[in-house]
Amino acid sequence: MATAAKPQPLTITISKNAAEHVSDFMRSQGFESGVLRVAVKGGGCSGLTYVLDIKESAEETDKVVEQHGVTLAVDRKSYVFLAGTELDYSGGLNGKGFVFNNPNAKKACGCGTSFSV
Amino acid sequence: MANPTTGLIRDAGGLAAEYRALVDGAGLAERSDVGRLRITGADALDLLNRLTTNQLDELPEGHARLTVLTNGDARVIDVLALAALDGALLCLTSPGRAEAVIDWLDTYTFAEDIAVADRTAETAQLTLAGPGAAGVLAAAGVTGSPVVTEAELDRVAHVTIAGASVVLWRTMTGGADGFEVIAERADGDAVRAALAAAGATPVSAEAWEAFRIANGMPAYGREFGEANNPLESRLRGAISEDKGCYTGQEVIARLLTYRKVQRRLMSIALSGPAEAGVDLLADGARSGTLTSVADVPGRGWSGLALVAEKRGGVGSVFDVSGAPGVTATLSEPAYALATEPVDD
Repeated sequence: MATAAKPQPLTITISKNAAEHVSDFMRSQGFESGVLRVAVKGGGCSGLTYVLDIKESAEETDKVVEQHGVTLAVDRKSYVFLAGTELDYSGGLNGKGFVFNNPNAKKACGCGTSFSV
Repeated sequence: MANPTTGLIRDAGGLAAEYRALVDGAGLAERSDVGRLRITGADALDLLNRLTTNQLDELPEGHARLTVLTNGDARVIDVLALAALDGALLCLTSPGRAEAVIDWLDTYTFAEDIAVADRTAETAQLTLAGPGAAGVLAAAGVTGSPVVTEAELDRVAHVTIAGASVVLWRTMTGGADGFEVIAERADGDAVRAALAAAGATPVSAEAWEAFRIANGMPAYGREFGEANNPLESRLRGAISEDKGCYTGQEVIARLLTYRKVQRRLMSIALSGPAEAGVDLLADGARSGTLTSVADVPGRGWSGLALVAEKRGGVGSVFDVSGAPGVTATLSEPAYALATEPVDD
């Protein structure tokens, strides 16, 4: 009898390309270690805006994910809006920089920096 | 008969006298149904700047500003009057909207330092309006306050009335120049009595509603709400067009740039009585919605309506659904004329 695959809990992931850019940025800013804080704040055209920041360490209550040598730290409330998101990087002359592929986002503003759920 | 809202007992013709006090003298309206919030925290103004339409990157102590809380589709959650006082923000919401505003701010608060306290039940609010208002305040012992002496609106400060410290706020919440007086609830009766003794005429909720409608001042649930954007409701005076991103900004910028506002709030002169909520008809075609109606002393049946932009402007005459023989003539709302940018 076939067994249905157990659904994987939603988490936050970072692509290899994005992780390399984060590591490069941290080195350029003099961080020998640290975490990439991924968060959401109110505002932007659609209501919620993504926030990226480098911090020395995660908060106790953060959700912490390690991938491709980068530690992501997400506060609990932001995680509600970010679960399932992949952080990618769009490079080149026409690239957008860091890109959030967020399955919770029902609508995004024209510039892509804010979203609504 | 006692008015169920104010408890006032009026003689015949009282409404006309009350209305005239608001227009020609000094009328005193009981407005404790307005929501009153105290917002504190280092990030409070920044969060409100990100979530609302007006420029709030700074709000100096003793100054106030009107702004609109909008969702991502630029629909109106509420219109907020914000004043910087005592290192905090005093926020007035529409009647019955304090909880919805608190919930909205809570939803969009993540790591910000902000606390919102609902002070509606602990405080009382009166509005003193009319050309005699400053004289009433002087007779009540309020002298030298910049809220009264300076010619600008939206000044706010503490003053003392009947021995009680109250907040005095010059603003246009009724659609015309006036003063909000906010006291601790326990002091409300004494402050009200002192202002009446100083010459203010207590007015009923009915007279206040006639004043609001005559001034073209939009109200929540009638002329604005989650079915409207603030441009339709003629709230452009509370919108900054160069502040950058805020929730709903993209939609509002598009509506302004491409002149895509579909409906506009207009003042209505009615030839007879009609019910709010009915359609306005042009050659039988639905052209607008009558949102508020009052029998305004000295003006007759008057109203406010959201009218389809392409269906009519100033001077257009519509039929009124459900009111045979009654016509509605459009004019510009006085509040919009006073607050919208002159280049509109």
